[in-house]
Amino acid sequence: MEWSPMERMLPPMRETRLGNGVRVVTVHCASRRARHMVAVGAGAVDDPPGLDGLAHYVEHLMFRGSPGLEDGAYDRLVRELGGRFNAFTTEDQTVYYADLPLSALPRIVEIETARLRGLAAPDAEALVERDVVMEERHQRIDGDPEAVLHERMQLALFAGHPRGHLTIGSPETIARFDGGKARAFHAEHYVPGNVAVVVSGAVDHEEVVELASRTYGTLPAGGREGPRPVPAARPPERITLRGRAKGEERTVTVCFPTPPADPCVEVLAVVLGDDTFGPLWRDLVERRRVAVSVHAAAAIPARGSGELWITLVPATGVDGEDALAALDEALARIANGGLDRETVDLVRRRMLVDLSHSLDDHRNVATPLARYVALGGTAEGYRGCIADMYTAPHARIVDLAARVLRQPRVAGILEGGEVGA
Amino acid sequence: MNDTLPIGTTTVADVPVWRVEREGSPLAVVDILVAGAGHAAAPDRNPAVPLLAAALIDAGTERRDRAAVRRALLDATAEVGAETQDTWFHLHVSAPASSIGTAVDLAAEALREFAPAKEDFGREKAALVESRHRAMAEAGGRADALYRATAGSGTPAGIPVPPPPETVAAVRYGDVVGFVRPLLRRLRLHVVTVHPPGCGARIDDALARMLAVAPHGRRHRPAPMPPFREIVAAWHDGHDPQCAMAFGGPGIPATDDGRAAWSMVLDVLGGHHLESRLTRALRVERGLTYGVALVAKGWRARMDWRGGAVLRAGTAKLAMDTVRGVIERLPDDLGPADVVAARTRLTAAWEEATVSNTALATLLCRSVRLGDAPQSVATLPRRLCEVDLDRMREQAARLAAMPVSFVFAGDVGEPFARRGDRGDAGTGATAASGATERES
Repeated sequence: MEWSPMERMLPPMRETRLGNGVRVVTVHCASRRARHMVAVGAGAVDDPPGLDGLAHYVEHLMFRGSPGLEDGAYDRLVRELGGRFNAFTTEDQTVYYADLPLSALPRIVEIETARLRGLAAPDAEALVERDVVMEERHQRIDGDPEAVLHERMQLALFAGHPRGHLTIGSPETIARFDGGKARAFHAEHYVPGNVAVVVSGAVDHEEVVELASRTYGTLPAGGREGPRPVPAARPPERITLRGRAKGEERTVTVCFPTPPADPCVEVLAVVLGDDTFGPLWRDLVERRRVAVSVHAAAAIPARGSGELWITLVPATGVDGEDALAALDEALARIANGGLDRETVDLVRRRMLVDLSHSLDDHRNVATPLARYVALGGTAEGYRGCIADMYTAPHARIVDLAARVLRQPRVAGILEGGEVGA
Repeated sequence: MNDTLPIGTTTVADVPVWRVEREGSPLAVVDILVAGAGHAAAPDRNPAVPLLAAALIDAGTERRDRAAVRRALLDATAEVGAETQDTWFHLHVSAPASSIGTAVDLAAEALREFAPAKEDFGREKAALVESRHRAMAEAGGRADALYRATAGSGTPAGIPVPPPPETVAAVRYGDVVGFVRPLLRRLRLHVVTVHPPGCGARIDDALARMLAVAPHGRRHRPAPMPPFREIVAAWHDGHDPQCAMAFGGPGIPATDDGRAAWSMVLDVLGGHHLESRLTRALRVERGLTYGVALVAKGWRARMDWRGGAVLRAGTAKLAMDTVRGVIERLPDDLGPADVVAARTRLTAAWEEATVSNTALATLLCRSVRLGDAPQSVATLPRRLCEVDLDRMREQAARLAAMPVSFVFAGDVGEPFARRGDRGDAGTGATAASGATERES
């Protein structure tokens, strides 16, 4: 295998901080199209009490008018530049991105600067957009019993903590949104010190910084420097929740809080979810045949606490309770030193293959980088995290598994038929 | 306009190969397309056979079990995957230039010596059954299934695509093995490759080894297209928080002179962006849905178009009337700005699709499936520039004159609920109510 060292696999990255606090990060690669991202260190953990989902609502309203940009103008202007755009909100950050020709960079930075100056959607339109968010909530959550169950698990996992609700909010909190609340959130969080701009493509760092200085650099300094601190979550109570499926679909899921910024959490998730070499696959799927599939995912980096979720589909004839008991046993063994070096090394090799293939498209580098720097991290820190994932000693992964998996877990069983409380 | 994509054509063992060799990404991509073997071409009339074959493609051969196959792929820094699309079975191979030959050899072994463990077959089948149960539990999945079963769009007559859980459960191990092993010699093949300079000969050598094992080239008979049936149907479930809408109509042939203008009309009508007429009408102005978008299905003989949206409960009739109104008004409603906007958006989408080797290969594969000339991918931006307002209006009028079918599932509201309220999720297409039907 012809591997370059990990650090050299990633394209060059550079970073500059403007006078008002906006950070500018460039990723240099050969693409003649650029990805331009505005990453804001504000997400669902910043939702005010009683307004769960407000950060996500603000993301919607960013497309319905800003000072100097009437409703629909952003869509039209980016399209005229030959660009395409979208955005996403997570628990920890909100990221806006546009893919466009390199020649459009001078204009897109002007447009995005205008959007950072404020929200300008008329109140009536803001209420229509609230309806859109409500339909999004119904589509993503309320029509899917597994999503409803996972929402309850999230509440139990982070009871009393800012992570203890879904990014989209609840029907009750969404109903309270309006333009005024969104504008207040924007004014508090969309400030230069809490914004990072990431640009990837065949770009020159100095030229991008020059453009950014003339645009983002004119935003008035002040307000917060970096994302609002979020406390670590307390370990949850061990609990098993049950949800009733609409049909015959069945799943068993457990979740744990994790350290917020340890890149080895990602390694642990990939190891636990690996469908060939992973210990859960070999034990529960191949050996004991209590499940037909296993998946795991981590939310890293995060603010306050990260999350690890593991889901399996029970095999035909295996009760959800029995599948959960088998999963608990398997995780307890892993927590007590049952994670061998060969397994971790094999899975990390798979991660390397995935990384090398993802470099086919520069956007696969830019997007996770934007999420990272939105939380106050640096480009150099991101590079270090990637290297850490692949080079961290085996003992560190084992220690992390013990610390995470020995905590009380929150479990959810989704099954058809009658379900107890 | 940019006609500079260097798309070369050649043959290896009499199989046509489209090739783009270019600097930039270090990843080499090889796609092998097999005609007449996709899920809608349904060997043995069971679309779950190619679906399971695709899912198990790297799950074991006569020489290596599942773990050994995956270790070999790791050693080659390679990925091998498969999918079924309509009438095509599609094998995807990618690796750095230095190991792409080994990766293609592994893919050839995966097909010719396909022998997953029976336990893996059983698990994969159970997982697919589970995913089909999950899809049918959602209003969107039920609307989609009912649309396909009633309108017949994109599915050869009589074949249920996507398959219901019981159809998946009926697949036997031998069905899948018997389907995969002859793929390289039984049907018409086509290869697409996008790679960095310096590895073309390595790819060709590996393809020659893969393809030379047995005669191929048996004449491919495209699956017959079913007639498009104009229908309005609803599957009411008052417990669902929303109403899913599947709608669409027949399309034009891929060889039609108006194809570029047709695609621009569909983009203005329901492209995946906030400016589309349907998004403005249903989302931006009324807040009825989170999203609505259209896609043109890649059928050579008739590129049917399909749309979907998940709507506020009880608004099926309002949404249907809105969509009908937008389509009816579209020929008169189009203006010069729409021509420029659609051209710009589709050109941007084309440019995005040529950024990475993987995405470019996907774009080329779509052209192969539609029977296009190789250079058609490179000349798309120029063809879009040749479309004017009159041509777009012509295609919009053509669209407006064609039938449009609507299928709803979930809390559909009046008048559909009143005419056929079942009060539960129902069990199949027979639950369709309030239906009108006309074949065209």
